[in-house]
Amino acid sequence: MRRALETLLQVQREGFFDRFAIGGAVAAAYYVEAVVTEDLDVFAFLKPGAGGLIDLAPLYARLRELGGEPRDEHVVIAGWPVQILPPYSPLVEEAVLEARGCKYEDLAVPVLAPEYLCAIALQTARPKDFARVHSFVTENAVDAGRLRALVERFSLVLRWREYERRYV
Amino acid sequence: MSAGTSDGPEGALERYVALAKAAWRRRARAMTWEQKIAAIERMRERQAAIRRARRG
Repeated sequence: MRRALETLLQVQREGFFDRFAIGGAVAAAYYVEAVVTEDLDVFAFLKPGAGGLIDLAPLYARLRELGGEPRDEHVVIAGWPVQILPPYSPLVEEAVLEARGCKYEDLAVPVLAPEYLCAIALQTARPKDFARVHSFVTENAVDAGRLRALVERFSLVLRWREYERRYV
Repeated sequence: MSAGTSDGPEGALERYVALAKAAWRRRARAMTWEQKIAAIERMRERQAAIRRARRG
């Protein structure tokens, strides 16, 4: 994992993306009990190319130079399939902008805040996402007021009720 | 009557499993991010080994 995180921090320093943040199960593990995951989810604001379009080719070429191996929708870095995604919704955009620096050994790694991870899980709404929300709630890993504000602002009230119906 | 046997050996076993799970949960929650990620990596290796074994 360390090499994957170092590589991401390096390509950010080199200007391939403005900001990035770790999401998904690896980010959730910062706050709550870990669950197994196959990949490392990374949300990144990629810099547009000369024509204003986002081109992943230079980033992938650089990741290959740094030892990464593109495989399907991932780049495998030191055994970790890394999926680099653009922030695909206003909620995810805000989550990346609000990400906090978390320590992994001596590295400062941007990680999505727990309330945003919960809200994104509600937005995605697969069974494993509801289970993630439940972990955050039962382990008191979220600020209830901040989560409520996100739920209301990003129209997730019905999803929250669905979570309550299933788990509470 | 010994402790934990009032509802028979199955009840005692269930309570033992519940206690063990609770202890594991407490330990899991106290782990650092680095330790949790190392645990995820071990779980992934085990799952990959199981998949390989299933494929023969």
